[in-house]
Amino acid sequence: MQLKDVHRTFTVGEVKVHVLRGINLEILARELLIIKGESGSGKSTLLNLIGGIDQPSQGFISFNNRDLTGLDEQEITRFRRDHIGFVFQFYNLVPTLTALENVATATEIAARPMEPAAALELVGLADRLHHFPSQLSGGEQQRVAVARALAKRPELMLCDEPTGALDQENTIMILELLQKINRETGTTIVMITHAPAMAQLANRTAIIADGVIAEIITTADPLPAGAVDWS
Amino acid sequence: MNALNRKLVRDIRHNLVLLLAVSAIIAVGIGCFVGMLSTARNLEYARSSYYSSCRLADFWLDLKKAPVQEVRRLAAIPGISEIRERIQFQVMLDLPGAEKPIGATLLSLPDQPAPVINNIILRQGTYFSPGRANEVIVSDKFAQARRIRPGDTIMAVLNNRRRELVVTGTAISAEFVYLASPGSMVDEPGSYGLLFIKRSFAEDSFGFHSGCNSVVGLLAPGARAESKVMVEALAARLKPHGVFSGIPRQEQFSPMVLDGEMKQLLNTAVIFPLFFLIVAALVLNVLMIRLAEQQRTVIGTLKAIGYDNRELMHHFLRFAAVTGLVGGLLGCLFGYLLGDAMTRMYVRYFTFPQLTSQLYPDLQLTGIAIALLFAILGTIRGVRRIMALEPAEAMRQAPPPLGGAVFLERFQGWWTGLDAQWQMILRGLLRNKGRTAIAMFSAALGSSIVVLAFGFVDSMDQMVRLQFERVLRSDYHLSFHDELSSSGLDAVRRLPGVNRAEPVLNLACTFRRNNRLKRGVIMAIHRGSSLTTPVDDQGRPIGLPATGLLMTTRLMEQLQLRPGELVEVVPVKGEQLSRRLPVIQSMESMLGLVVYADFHWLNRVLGTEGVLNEVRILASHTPAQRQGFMTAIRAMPGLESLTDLGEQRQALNKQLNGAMRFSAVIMILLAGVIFFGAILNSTLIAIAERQREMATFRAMGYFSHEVARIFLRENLVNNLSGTLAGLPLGYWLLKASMQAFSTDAYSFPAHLAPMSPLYTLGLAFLFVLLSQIVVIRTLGRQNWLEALSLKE
Ligand SMILES: Nc1ncnc2c1ncn2[C@@H]1O[C@H](COP(=O)(O)OP(=O)(O)O)[C@@H](O)[C@H]1O
Ligand SMILES: [Mg+2]
Repeated sequence: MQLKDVHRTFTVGEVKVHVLRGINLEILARELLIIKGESGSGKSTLLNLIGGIDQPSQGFISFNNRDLTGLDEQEITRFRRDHIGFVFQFYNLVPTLTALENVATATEIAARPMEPAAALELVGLADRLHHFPSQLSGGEQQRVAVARALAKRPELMLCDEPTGALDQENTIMILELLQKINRETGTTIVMITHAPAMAQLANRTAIIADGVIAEIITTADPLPAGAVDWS
Repeated sequence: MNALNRKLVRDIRHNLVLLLAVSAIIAVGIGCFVGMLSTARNLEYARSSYYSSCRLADFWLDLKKAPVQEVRRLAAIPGISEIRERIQFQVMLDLPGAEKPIGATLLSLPDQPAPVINNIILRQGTYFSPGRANEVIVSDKFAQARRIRPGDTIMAVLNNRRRELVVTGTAISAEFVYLASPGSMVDEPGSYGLLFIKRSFAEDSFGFHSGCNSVVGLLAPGARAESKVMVEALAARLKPHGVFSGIPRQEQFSPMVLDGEMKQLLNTAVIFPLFFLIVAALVLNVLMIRLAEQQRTVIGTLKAIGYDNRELMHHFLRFAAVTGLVGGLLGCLFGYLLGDAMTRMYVRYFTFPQLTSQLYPDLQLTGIAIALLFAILGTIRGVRRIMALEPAEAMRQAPPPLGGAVFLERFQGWWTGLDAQWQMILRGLLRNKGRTAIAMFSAALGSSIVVLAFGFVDSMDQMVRLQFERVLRSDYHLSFHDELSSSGLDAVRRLPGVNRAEPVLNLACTFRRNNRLKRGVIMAIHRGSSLTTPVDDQGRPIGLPATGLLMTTRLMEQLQLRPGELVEVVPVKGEQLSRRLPVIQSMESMLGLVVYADFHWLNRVLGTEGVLNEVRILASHTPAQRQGFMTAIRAMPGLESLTDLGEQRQALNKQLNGAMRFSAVIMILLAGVIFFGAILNSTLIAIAERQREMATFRAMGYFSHEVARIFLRENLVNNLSGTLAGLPLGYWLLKASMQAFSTDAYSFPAHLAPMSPLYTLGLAFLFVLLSQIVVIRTLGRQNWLEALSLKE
């Protein structure tokens, strides 16, 4: 995945907010990439552009050498459906569906999905299949969300502060899970986080400031989440 | 079932009460639509088979007397396909057990059964036998009411001679689906008779050998559109024989009443349901927009996962489909029951060989389609929001609800005087303007229906009251075949128990102005008559002018006349001299297109003196006097009819009380569905939306009932102001309906009793209180702690 000179401007009333001002970034196959930056620096905006739920004001984004900018609504939906898995900070599960059914919302429209139950087993929720979100803890809900993203075997998983609403114990569990997915299935993962210690977990860490990628830190030998000092 | 449909089912279950409320409103609308149209079809089928099996005439001509040979030659006129001549008289009957003489229409039929125009259908007994002359077939309804059976004999006064008639059978006739005595509009079984006798016997009894005074005929299919012109042409041909009237089918009393009723049904079937369907669509609209907002992130997530707009649109349209379908199906059921009940009601008023309630799948399907249509209309705005929602946008926090001052706060002194709860309520109402407007609008439509229901009853009551307490204060009307002199009046004055008797001269005539033509009657009464009082539309008496005519507004409009203008008047009897008479003033008449004139003036115009053909009587009767009075009347020569106004009023009241009050109660209940459904929806949505706010109040130490009171106040503000707005709308609807229901035969003044708007407000209040029960129960089930810790 390649981003070239990507700009994104929002117009709020009269005011133009120039959030991204020329992002150049290549996302490598099978890597775990972390995006860091101040709150409001445009991390989510960038992730949305990568995931095709938003369009750049200027610049190019290509996936497998295919230009994503300029695709119509139908084609971009197709792209998300076939290649992208999302995990959000507040899980965003459908409250009226059970864990299994939530995962099914993704598998039912995917080309070569896993069994929803298998995905839930992978995230360690084999015994929670028929629970509704309100009957699950925050960590469990996020694991369902991970299973939902994972189950359609996406090439790229995008996680926007997946642990932002979780306590430390659950944070470690989710991060280990994502690492495991990245390692065992080779799924590329882009994850937003602002916890400083996170950088040690990923292959690369991109830092956003002033609307551009200010720095990319490469970690030769990422640590497992459990081994990081979180204090 | 896929996950999205599972979600649909659970979302429906979560919003069940709300969706059911919408479905109920739809069901009422569709029920009225299906029910009324089914009834109209039942009537239509019954009518068309009845008319064709009896070969109902296309036109009627009443004459003084014409030779049969000449009448038969009319059949040769192009456009006329068949002609039948007959003999027809108004007669008085003397029935055993009946204390007073009863009027009846007597018609001749061929001696041997033949498929003539305006034939009868035998219900009991047989047709005439060859042997006996004085045989009679009695109308079935009359026979049942008066317990007359084949083989019985009845006494009738034919041509001033009392004759004994032997009943051979009972029958019904398509000419008299609705039968009311002249001057009355109520088909009260047993109060007015219909008899058929042999043509030969009629000729003998009335001296009508090879003569006739009634001509009925069928038009060639091509000429039917021109029936009025054809009738005028025939009337012109028969003019030398004294044409009293020429009436095309659509203006003949019974077909006209039936036709009017069916038109009314069709109109109501379209307009009335619309109210409910519009409210349902609006309420559903609120609900779906709320759902779209509530599910913002869910929708955004589904879009991010890769669902496209079409899939999500289908998902949300299914809410509409389910709501509409449930409403439509319930509506069909309700419609069938309503149609059945209404058809049964019509069986009591109209006489058909067979009038039964049928199931019409095409109407039911149309009903369901309309239900779906309105449900989808109600969903569209919500769905459009869902389609427009950008997934990236949906993930962001929803914009905080609008804050800031509302315009009411500009009235500082008043605003700061309100307590915090009222301030909160008013702010809430004004910030959700769209929703407040829909709640008020629903209440307004609901209240207009309630006003309409009260108004129907009030107007009927008013009509009866005006007619029998203001316009006609007499107890009996005696009318005579021929004109009497003042000595005849004196004879009536001497009858037992008569306190007052006033003469009336009825002049049957044709009114003509330019090329507008209308048949009618000038009713000449004494100025200052105390028994007959012309009134205006408010029921205030109008003084009778010394010269000239006082004419019903409707007739003036039909003739395009203004007060002060002249109208040409041609009497139907006598030498038919045309005269131009001035119309002085307009007035209102509830029964018939009445035209009044001064008794002496009309006599002068006609060149007569003190001539009359009707006497109106005020009587105070002991039972013995009444018997003496009736006996004397029986012996009175030339009597055409006796009208008992007390009885007429009773019959009218009976008919109106039954049908009108029943349908008013139904209408109010149905309006209740609107109120209840709309209130429930807006409140439950408000509760769901403001869970956090309410939870905070509870945490602060408010009692549950105090929180409930906030919603009660909100609903009261919404609904009572909506109800108030609905009052003028209801009155306007009432006026429009009364205008639409008016025919030449009768018209009702729109009248709303002073208490009715108050009752309407009271009912609205009651509906709000009833829905408050549900509100309190819902609030009781809320989990406050959970609401407080709920994440957005
Ligand atoms: N749809 C939008 N409309 C207007 N402003 C937006 C929109 N999305 C993001 N922004 C603005 O862009 C900036 C970056 O937002 P975001 O990408 O969410 O930051 P973060 O790095 O915290 O994820 C913020 O100032 C935010 O207010
Ligand atoms: Mg963010």
